Amino acid sequence: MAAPVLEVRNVGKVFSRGLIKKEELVALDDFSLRIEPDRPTITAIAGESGSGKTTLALLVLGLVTPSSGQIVYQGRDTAAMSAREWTTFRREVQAIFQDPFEVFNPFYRIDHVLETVIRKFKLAGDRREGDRLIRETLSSLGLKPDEVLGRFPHQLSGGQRQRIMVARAVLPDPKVIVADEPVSMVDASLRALILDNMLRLKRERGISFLYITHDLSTAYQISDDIYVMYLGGVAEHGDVARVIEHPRHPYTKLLVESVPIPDPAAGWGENVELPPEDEVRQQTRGGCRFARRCPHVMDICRENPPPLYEVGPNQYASCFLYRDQPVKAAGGAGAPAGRPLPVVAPS
Amino acid sequence: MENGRHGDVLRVEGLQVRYRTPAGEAQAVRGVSFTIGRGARFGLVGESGCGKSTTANAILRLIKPPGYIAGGRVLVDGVDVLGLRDEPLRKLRWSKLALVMQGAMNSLNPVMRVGEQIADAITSHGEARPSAGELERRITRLLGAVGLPARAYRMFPHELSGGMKQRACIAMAMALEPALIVADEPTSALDVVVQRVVAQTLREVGERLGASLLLIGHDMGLQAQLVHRLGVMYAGELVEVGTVEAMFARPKHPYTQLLISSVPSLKERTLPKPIPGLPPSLVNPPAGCVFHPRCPHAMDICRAVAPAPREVGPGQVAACHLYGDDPRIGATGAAPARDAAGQTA
Ligand SMILES: Nc1ncnc2c1ncn2[C@@H]1O[C@H](COP(=O)(O)OP(=O)(O)OP(=O)(O)O)[C@@H](O)[C@H]1O
Ligand code: SF4
Ligand SMILES: [Mg+2]
Repeated sequence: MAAPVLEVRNVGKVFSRGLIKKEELVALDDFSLRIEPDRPTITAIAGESGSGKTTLALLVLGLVTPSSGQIVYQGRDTAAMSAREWTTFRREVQAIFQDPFEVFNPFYRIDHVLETVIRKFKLAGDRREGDRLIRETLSSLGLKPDEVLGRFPHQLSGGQRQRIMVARAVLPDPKVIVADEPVSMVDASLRALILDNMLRLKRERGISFLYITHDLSTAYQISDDIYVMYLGGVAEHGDVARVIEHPRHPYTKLLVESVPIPDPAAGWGENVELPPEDEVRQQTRGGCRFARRCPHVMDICRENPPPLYEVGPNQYASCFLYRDQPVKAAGGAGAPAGRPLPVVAPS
Repeated sequence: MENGRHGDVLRVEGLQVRYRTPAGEAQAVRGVSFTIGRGARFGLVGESGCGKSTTANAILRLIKPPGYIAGGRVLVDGVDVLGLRDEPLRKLRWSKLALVMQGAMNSLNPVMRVGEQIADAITSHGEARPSAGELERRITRLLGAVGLPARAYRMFPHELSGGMKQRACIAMAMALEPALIVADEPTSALDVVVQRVVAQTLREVGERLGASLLLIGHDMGLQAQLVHRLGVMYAGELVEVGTVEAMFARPKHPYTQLLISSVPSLKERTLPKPIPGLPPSLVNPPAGCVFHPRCPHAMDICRAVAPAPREVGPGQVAACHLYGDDPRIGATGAAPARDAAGQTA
């Protein structure tokens, strides 16, 4: 069997903060994930801020080194790569970030952003070829090259800028794109357009995505698999339709139920309370991370961290409520999701 | 005056705001009119850049150059905010109005304890001077009302999480018992569970004090759960207003219809369809209906004549030619008045 395209193997990341009184912050704890080689997938990483999502993105991109565990790309541990392998890795694993303004230098025309990528990865033999590649890529994302090339970042709309970010990530012909909250700054209409771009890139160019978001609705709409993160660990993961439609972990249930329903007739359920964050972090040592907030907490939850239990076909929850179920086998990321692509309604 | 106790808390009439830009004057708000009753919650939605925040800032008279208020009236409890001199304006802002901004939590003073900051707001702007003991009791009650523990009184902002800070800001906004809270994207930087708690807080605290709410933001789910009436803005104009139930169940304006159908939800696993096209330039807005370049139902008249708002259902008003003949059209052939407040296009 071919090696996974990308494998995050029992990765932990601990940051220490504070100068005098050193405090350790476990940003990510024993996290594993696989992107299988047989077909491109969109894997959502969902959770609140501070749940470790962005740390995971930075680890996968090789911008932060793990405190434990390995990031393995095409069967090669990224920590042991040769310079040449590393260059290939940097080209084939690309990123799209939240705020395009941080990436664009206001003094350069946007052509510069794209030409830099061409030069850096030697994507074209000459200027003409580079220009053709840029135009093709822009067109494939629904941008008119003549409307955006030659302009400065502030002369473009938010949606155009965000799609240039996508173009920049797509140019080097990557196998994986890490998209960290790519649509959290845009409104509903543009969001649909950009997410549709991601679906098409997956379908037409075989690109897999790690889609990092706190928005469950869009995760549900475009991804195949989902990892619901809580305080640096996985609360639940598996096939996105199963996890969202039949959440098993109490935290996933709370999340799903908290998404406000765009229907005034539907209620929001009872009020929820939030415990202070400092207490929550302290409480997590040893037991289940969610114990402090869990309505079903049992004695066992305060003593041991729960493993991932298999709660359904390709659905795993880290919760002792399911301790009668089999524990998830190490290493296996579960059967790949087998469901048709979501259909984009024609406009 | 009789408006004071029983009338509308807020009355916006034909508000116009412009920004001077190198490309010309951007007409960010073009003749917007609406009212909010005592204790009512009103939502304002629309695509990014449609003028929601500009409207909110104009109500509080916080528009700064290159922007200016080019016309219209804003009445808070019957008092015209736009005509006030600085001192009475300052008083009115603190006694009647409160603003909770997106990321308001970042506006807390990092070196002052939360309780002290709220105390400061009360003593420097309130009418009465409560004793120290009375002040502390009042603040502890406020903190409790927004779901913060009493010990938050002695905490510094960095000791609170984002959601707790945002709730501390709501507590501060409530400290002087305002008649109207203007909340501009109060939860958009927060996670869904925290967002739910902050929204609950806004609703409960408002109900307890009888304060009205103007909620700005493009999260349609949040609006559906929180407001009584909803206004939809497009390119600086209020194109439709109605009860939140009617707006979701029977949207009449083609833009509202597209907006409602592009709302994501956990019910359907398809991407909503994007609204084709882009919003128009505010420097040179299109003639006729501002929405006509993107409207699937545009007719000849839409390209020439701006539609006047008209009643399309009980308490529901939309500005669109699809609903009835405008009696003024055809008589002179000239462009008719732009909105109820009577400005001309
Ligand atoms: N200081 C300014 N100078 C020039 N133009 C401005 C300024 N502030 C806002 N504008 C313009 O006014 C219009 C309305 O902006 P506004 O911030 O009110 O929109 P909004 O509806 O609040 O959008 P969002 O949903 O993105 O917050 C936009 O076209 C914007 O570019
Ligand atoms: S007035 Fe005409 S263009 Fe404007 S929304 Fe109505 S049908 Fe569409
Ligand atoms: Mg705004």
